[in-house]
Amino acid sequence: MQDDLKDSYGILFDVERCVGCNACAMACKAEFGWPEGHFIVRVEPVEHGAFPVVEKNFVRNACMHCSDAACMMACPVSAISRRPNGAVFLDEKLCIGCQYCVISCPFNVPQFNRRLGKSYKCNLCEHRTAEGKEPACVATCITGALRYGKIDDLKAQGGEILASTGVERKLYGESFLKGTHVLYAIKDEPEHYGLNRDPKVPLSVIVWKQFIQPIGTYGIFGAIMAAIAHYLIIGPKKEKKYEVKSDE
Amino acid sequence: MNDTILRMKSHEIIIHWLHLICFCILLVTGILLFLPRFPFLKGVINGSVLTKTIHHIFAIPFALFLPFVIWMFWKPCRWEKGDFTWITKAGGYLGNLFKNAPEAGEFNAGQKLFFYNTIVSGILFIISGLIMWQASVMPPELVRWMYIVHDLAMVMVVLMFVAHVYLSTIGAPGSFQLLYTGRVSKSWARLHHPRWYKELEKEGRV
Repeated sequence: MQDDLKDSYGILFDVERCVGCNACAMACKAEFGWPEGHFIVRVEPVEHGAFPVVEKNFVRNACMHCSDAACMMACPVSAISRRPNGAVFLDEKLCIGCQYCVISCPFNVPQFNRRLGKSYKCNLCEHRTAEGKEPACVATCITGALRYGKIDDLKAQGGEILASTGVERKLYGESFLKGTHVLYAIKDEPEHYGLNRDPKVPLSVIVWKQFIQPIGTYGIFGAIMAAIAHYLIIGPKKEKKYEVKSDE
Repeated sequence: MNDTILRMKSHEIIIHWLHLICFCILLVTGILLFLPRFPFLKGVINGSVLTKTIHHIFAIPFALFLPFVIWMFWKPCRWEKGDFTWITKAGGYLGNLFKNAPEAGEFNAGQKLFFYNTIVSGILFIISGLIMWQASVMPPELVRWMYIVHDLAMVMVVLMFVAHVYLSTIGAPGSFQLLYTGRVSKSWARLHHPRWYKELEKEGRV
């Protein structure tokens, strides 16, 4: 699962520049033609503090493209895979709509489209980046709160933004799930922005994928092998002629 | 004089077949959802919505037949003295490793365990399956653990199902005709279920 972030691409989100215009959410919705009630990118206002000392920020909420992606681990049919650019890609054609990714994501990102019977999430606009374009949300952002690029460049840019605070701080996304491909430049604690400080792959997903599945697979093949071995070595329990005679 | 004994009545054969067919369909579709590692099947049947739909549809009769299976095997599968010893001696199936396994009655202890396994895993399948089916209205943490319960029940039942299929076909010749004639030969009954045969003799039914 070790993912080399060096050649990966991602998005840097600068909370300070976001004015909550929702243009990214709209651009994304327009790009994919999502039906009423469904958004891949959501911009949510987060308030902090108590009157009269209050702060309000707008936080972009979409797929983080984790290096250790819970949805990818959870998907029973491998419909979610890693792309060469690092994106966590949900292939709609393979999705069976079991919603296991929906309930496994620590960021509550994948959503279920009841009409299609499929789950959906951000695929980092693969059709656009393949043509050299930026993802729709980044291309439309008027304030420069969103940037698309190589992870290393984004980390350098994010570091510059955070350096102004004077406190040594990491970008949100660098220090968990083996690093995410979407990074947030936040100048305060994650809770301040309604963010989860320590998102994890749920234990139940790890148990299922790394213990139950292998035990089940080897157990079943082992049982079949044991039956074949029994047949070859000990042999079936046959009726013997003399037993019949002895009773008659 | 007829050389065979009636072992399964026609309604028992029918219930057994219906439950077996549902189980096999659920097993195949379930395995395709559980082990999505066959690249050539990807998107065709392995991991297609159709596979999931078939799995859902056949789960309903499977659940409905379970009470009938319990009803028809409940009495003869009561746990008896000597059944535990039978298990520790692997029923005498392991050649010279364990000898002198107690004689089996109408059902041997292995079959009884398989029956109890069918009940327990069947109930686990139904509960966890319903919760997974209605994932969107259930607490996420509960649904995630239900995947584990569902798969553990599957592993439990498949391990014994492999043994059951083996010992009802090539592992014990003369057994499989039960599922279409309902009858077994007297020598088969004496070999596999001696105590049952003696009881029948006492009752004058053979």
